[in-house]
Amino acid sequence: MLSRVANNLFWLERYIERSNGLLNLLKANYLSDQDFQNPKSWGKMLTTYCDIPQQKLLIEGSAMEILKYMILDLNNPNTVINLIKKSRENARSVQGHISTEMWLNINKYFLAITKKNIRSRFQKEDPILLIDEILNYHMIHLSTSDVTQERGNAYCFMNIGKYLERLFQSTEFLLSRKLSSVKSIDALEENIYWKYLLISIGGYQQYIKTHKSVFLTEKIMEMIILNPHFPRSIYYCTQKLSLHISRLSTFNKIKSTNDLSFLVGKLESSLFYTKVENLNSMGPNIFLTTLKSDLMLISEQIDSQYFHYINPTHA
Amino acid sequence: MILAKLLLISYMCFHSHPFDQYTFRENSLDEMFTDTNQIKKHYQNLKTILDKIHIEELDKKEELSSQLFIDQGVTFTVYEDKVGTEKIFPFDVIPRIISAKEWDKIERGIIQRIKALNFFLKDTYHEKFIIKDGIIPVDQIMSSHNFLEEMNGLNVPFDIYNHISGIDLIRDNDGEFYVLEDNLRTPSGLSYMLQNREISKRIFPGAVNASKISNISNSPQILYNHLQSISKQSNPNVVLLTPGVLNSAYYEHATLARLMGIELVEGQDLFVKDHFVYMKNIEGFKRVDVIYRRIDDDFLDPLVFNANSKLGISSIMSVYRKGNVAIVNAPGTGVADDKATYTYVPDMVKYYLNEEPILNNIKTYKLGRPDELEFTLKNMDKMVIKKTNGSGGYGMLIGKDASDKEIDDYKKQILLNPDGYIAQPILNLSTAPCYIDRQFKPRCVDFRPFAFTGANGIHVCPGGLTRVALEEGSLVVNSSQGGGSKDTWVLNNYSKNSNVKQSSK
Repeated sequence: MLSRVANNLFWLERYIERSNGLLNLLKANYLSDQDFQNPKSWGKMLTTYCDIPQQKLLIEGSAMEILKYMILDLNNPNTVINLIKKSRENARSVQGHISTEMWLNINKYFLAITKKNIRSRFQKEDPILLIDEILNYHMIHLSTSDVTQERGNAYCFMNIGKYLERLFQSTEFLLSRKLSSVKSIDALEENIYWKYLLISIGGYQQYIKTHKSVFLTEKIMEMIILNPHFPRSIYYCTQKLSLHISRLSTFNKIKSTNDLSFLVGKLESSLFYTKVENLNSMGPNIFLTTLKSDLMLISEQIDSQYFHYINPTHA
Repeated sequence: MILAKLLLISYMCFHSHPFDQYTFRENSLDEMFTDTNQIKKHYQNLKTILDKIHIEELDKKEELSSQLFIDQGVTFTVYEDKVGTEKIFPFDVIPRIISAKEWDKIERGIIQRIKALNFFLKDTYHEKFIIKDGIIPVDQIMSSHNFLEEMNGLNVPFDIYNHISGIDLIRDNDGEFYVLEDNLRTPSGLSYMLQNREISKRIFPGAVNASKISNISNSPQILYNHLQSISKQSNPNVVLLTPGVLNSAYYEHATLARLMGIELVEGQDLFVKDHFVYMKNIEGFKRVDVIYRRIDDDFLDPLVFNANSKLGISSIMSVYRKGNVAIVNAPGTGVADDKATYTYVPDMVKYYLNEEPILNNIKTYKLGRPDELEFTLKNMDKMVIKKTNGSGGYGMLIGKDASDKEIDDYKKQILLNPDGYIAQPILNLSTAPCYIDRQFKPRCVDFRPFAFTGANGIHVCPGGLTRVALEEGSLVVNSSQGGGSKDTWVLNNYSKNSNVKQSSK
């Protein structure tokens, strides 16, 4: 497989995953906003996705304005419409490597979100229904890639993109919440805050089932970081990342002691041997900052190992 | 009761049918009807199908066809705003039909013509007998900016230059097909030929398989076989080189690569090392043996041609010269398809093959010759004048549609460099019915069949791209200028010459 193709497959999935996370976050924030107006949580999101806090939008804008901005603004590279546009461009350039069904869905998604009437629909219709409608393309994407995509190089690069993006998102997400500052919560407002936080990463049901509706920072942290069965947890995603990286090594006859496998393996075992007590004694933010720099290293290593293989002039 | 119902249905069909107001274009032959308004035999089947379809259904079919193109991304992007609007090439739902007998002649004619053109290319870049024997004047070839000095004396694999050709044909009033243009560089449209057929199957279910139409669905496999046949390697690595996603024909590049199962590469993916071309793969370098390139000669090698090109591969020409890579079509084929060389193709057929041309040229005046220049200037209102190096319908003058000022300006241009122009009498392209504004209307059509040349012979795909001038009265079929396309059905119920399907070189 061409390095350029591998790179495009990787980014195709990163952009899709990023917009998926963003849409879920927007939906949860909007819902929580209906309970308590919370400009801070909008602020955090805007800072994460737009680099600079869009103060003007925060002060003047209603939740609706922010939704419209984050989904449809054409000037910001991290809005859903621009992410999908880039994802589709990548898909278009690797059509021969992804299943037709997957291409058709991404293309339809792109056409739907660039349709002329979408802005006015946000004006008139229930935004949650609309977001759900958009999220449906993500569901179809995930299922078509599961059912139709050959388990080869392409599938691995897409999954590496997906899980790496998820890891970055979860880390960012936790970092921006400054977990250590909140010990235990019983105030109604805080309760709702945690509820929607869990909803936004799709972990609410699983949390309630395990811990009933007692929201403890420690438990939440444990679930998002260390739970091996929660599909968005850091540990789960790292395991998947490691799996696809080792598959790639096998497919392409790369020695298993290469730097990439080493880095991921190291991260995977260190998570395996981390308990929530360690997180507490270390301080969650230090843990998360270290994690973030580990992920950066892995990302750079993927780049140099697979995408910019060797500069031919130096060959 | 049943009888009454039947009568009602036939009444509805008859009276609301869009064929009712079908009027003929003046001085044009119609593909479907004779001049006495009789349906031609090879269209009978289609007419029966269309007669049963109500106008609302036709609207739905038209809508469905657009939707299918859009959903599958068979589009090009127009950057009017930041998002980029996806547009489709207009498609007309009514197929154009070519009878088996007509096809038999077209096929033989194309094979003959391609053989002669290939001999000409070999000759032009080697011994130049055709010049020495006085058939073509030397400056005709040497002054063409499509003549590539770098190809002189270069031996190409199996002496094949024009591996993929698209020959544009039109039908004149005498009912015969004439060659309008030979496209031997990077002719496009093959994927549209395939796509249009797929759409026909969806919008006229049961019609394609019941109509004895030649099947074209295996064309990508045949193309692949021809491509790999020209390599010295037993299991060659064949790739398709595209300029990238921003190119308006990107859909075609991606589709052909996907259908052939070959890698779609960009210039940045390839490099030259130790006299071989390699691609940069995740697992390392992989040698490339055959490159079906969809970039122009000029961009192929920045060290040899346009130094600013980022689309090509440095040093690829030296690898080519060594015979370590095959390039499809060969660089320099443009010298054979430029509009001035065109006029000599019938002479080439006689010279190289000792045969009479099966398909004829349109009468063409070379303005480099004083008598023909004089005649043309006197009769500009009856002429179509073209630049010899133009394409895509640009830079041409259609005398009868031009204003006096436009004619005067064009005249001045011609006189500056008469060699750069040819003139043809205004043609009468045949018309075919198109579904426009809920009616059938005659529109001018041409026809581009595709031929593949490989080590084992020439294959003409039994189909092709029918291009339509959708503007009323227009003769310009180019997609860049308001043209559309139609599916083209070649009937295969004719068995006189079953042995000419594959002709060996």
